[in-house]
Amino acid sequence: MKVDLFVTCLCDLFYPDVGEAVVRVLRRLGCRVGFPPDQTCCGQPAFNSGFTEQARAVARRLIEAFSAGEEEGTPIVAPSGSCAAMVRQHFPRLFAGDPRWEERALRFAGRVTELSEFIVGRLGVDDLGGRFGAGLEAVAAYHRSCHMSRGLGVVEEPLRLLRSIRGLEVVDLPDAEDCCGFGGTFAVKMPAISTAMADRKLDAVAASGAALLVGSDLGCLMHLGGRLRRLGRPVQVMHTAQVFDRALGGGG
Amino acid sequence: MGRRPPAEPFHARVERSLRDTFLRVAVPAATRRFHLTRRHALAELGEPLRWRQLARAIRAHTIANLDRYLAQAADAVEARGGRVHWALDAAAAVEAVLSIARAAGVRRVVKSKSMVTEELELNRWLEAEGIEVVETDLGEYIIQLDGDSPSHIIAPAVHKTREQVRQLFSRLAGQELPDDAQALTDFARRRLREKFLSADMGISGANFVVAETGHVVLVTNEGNGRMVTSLPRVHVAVMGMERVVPTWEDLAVLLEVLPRSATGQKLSVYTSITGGGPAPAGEGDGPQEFHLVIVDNGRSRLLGTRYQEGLHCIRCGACLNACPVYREIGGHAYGGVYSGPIGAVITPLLEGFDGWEELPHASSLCGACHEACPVLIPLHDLLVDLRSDEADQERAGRWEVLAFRAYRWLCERPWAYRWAARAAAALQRPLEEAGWLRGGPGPLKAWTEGRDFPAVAARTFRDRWRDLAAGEGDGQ
Amino acid sequence: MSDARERFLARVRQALAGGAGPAPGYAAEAGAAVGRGSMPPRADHPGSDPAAWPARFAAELEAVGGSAERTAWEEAGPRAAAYAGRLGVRRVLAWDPAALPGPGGELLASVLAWLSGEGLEVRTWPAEAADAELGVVVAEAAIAASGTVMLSSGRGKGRSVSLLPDHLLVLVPAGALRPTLAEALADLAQRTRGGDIPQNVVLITGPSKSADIEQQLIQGVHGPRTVHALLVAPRGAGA
Repeated sequence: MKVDLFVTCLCDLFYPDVGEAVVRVLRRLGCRVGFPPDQTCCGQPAFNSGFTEQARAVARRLIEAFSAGEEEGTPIVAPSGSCAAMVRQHFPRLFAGDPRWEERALRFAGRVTELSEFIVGRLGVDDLGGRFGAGLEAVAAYHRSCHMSRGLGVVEEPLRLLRSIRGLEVVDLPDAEDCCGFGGTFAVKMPAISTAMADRKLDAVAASGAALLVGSDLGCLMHLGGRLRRLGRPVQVMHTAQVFDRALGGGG
Repeated sequence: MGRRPPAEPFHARVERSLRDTFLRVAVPAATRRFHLTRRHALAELGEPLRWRQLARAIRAHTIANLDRYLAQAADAVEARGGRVHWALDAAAAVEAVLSIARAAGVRRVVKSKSMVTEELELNRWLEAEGIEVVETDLGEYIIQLDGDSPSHIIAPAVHKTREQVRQLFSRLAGQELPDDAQALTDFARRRLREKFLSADMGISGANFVVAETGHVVLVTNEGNGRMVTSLPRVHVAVMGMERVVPTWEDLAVLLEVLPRSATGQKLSVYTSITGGGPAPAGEGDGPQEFHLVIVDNGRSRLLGTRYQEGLHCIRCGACLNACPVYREIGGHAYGGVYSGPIGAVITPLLEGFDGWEELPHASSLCGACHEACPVLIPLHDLLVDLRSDEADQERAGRWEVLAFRAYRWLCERPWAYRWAARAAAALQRPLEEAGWLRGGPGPLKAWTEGRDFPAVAARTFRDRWRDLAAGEGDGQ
Repeated sequence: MSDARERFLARVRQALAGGAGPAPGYAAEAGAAVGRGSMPPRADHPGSDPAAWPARFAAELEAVGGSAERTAWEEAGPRAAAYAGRLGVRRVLAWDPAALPGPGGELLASVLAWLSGEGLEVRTWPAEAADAELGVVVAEAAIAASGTVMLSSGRGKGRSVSLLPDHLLVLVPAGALRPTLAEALADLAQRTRGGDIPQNVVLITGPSKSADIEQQLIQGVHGPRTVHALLVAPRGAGA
């Protein structure tokens, strides 16, 4: 299957290793991966901050960047529940009533999927365990990010894939549905509250006994990982793509 | 008249809450309990979402036809011998209550919990007339004795410790009371019983007002709502104008979701369906006068706008209990009568943005509020809309405006975006330490107050793509 | 005054007519076409067989801190006396049986007669309520799904009787049980639409309670500390 990668700006700029892991995982699962080079951001930082016009401009740019696959409806895979939710939930609203863009925005939204959602839902794969026999020895807790779980409704897919990995013990995270406090610009507008929320989440991680924290959104992981590092707690942080990559015998 | 934003700035209020060690334990414990029992109670109905959709349909229909149902309710009250007072703003509402009190020669008022009278600061105005006002919900009574204000819609004194209550009550009793919730409650029961039996006027809010008959519906657990509406000779019900419900059938649905969403109860201990008119002579108790004060006080500003759904709220507090921000900072940090997500939405709408600019930003937009709301108000979307209104009104900070202008410019130009990434990677070098930053200017400073920040990659993903694509030969 | 009303309603009307209203695209699940009046089936419905309702009612009332027992009509008096005996109370305040038409009044009269016979001091409404220890009333309806009793005020049926005494005994006559709140309110709707509008109806679900002091549950804040329901079978029908 041909897919286009929407790597997302956070991944591109701060976590290129995660992007590489995504590419390896998709290839292992039989996909041909394209990377439309003109992509930048989905516009979410501006949208969530109330800068709607700026968000619209950036959103238009993203839709155009992926226009080559528009005819065939090439699936677009993003290693982020939040960015996928931005496109699927808010692009149609951003362009509602716009004769030039509404239709395109809807079509674009129809193409975008989050990585684990794509693997389970579109590729029909829900077991990564035995494929290449790599496995990963760790006790992991999974952070279900809010936009992914509430916005996209994707909760079970990443868990199913993680649980299929040999050697990886996925423990329940207490109060798993609670926000970690990232919230995009919230993290810098309300840093004290944001950090307090991170601490509550990290206390839950500690209570779960996990030595590895896995998530599907780099925003949350940047925030939690940054707090962990500041606190000097020895919990390792990985994106789901990196864990999948390890399970499939990838380079990470 | 009307309430002013607190003098203490939002961030200072937040800092104070975050330092309150009791609050940081008590609020999460209480809200967590409410949150879980709510979920359990709704699940028992079988298809919670369908019930919530139905409740929402009722609220949407009611608010879309609010003029009609208010007129119907008022007609019903007048036909039953009650009096209706229309108050466009807080001043008119206060004046209506004061004139009722004057005409009836009222010296003592007992009140049951009412958020709208908090909006009006009614107690202050009654006291200025020399009238004694006693809050009778146990939590509200504690709050009143301490000159404090409620911090949660349904658990107003959640921020108070038992020891604080013990000290307050001991002062009143003139002796040291034991450190025991039962004994403290018994003290309040005796004390307030005297007040109920000697009050001239009872003031209640209204969870609902049934348009068919003008009945006020009060949902309480302690019984004070019944006392207030049964014992004094005058009953004044103050309702926010959105509290009307068309029919008994609609009420039956809303009463299935309200207590479940608020406290996880199937029904609250007392659902009083009362008033509308005075008690008929010869019944031996019940008020001889009934007044309904219908309050707008900014609510009509939401009508006809995309914020209209804010008026669908049935004040259950579920969004507070679900909110991870409320959990950390409690209700007082919000600064207004209504706290949590619903407060962050409606306070700036009812009061204007001045002094309330931060409230729409006091959310991580996680959506837990919407997920909990029994009438499916898209609170997180409305918060984004409010942020957008603020930006349109040029209320955003200067750095933010510039930052988003630059953000747009860069994101629209992939070559510039790529160049900026390289520039950032070069510029960060003095601050960088093993791939992380621990300080920096502007937003980076805010981030790194409590967290490390990852350095921009020396080679971004797009810079690596050529190699990746070459590796497998399937790039574009 | 009608001037104020017109100005108020005109503002509401204009605001509603002038604007676009809630924006589309918000909260997709809210948009599902659910009409008012179509109540969803409920998983916790006590079922259509009235024989199952008393047990459910009792279980629900007990779950919220009240108590209930089923009794033959002829046994209602002794059971009521036993309840009063367990509480150790002497002063009883009750609704006036003469104010209750039909079997409810007869039942109440027989229970009160028994209590008097046991030496309790029984007063009927209207009477001094402040020092009464036990209130006795008759439910107009009772809701099986939640353990709730519905009382309405009227001549001889004071609100204070179920409110001021420390303890409350509710007689639930046969036929008063309804499966859920919807049916109980449907009865009320029928009554008010027929022009019979009580000034006060109260649904009572267990003893008064509060958790306002450090979330610790306390019974008996302002209203009765205990609530006991007697589910009374029809006269001559056994328990």
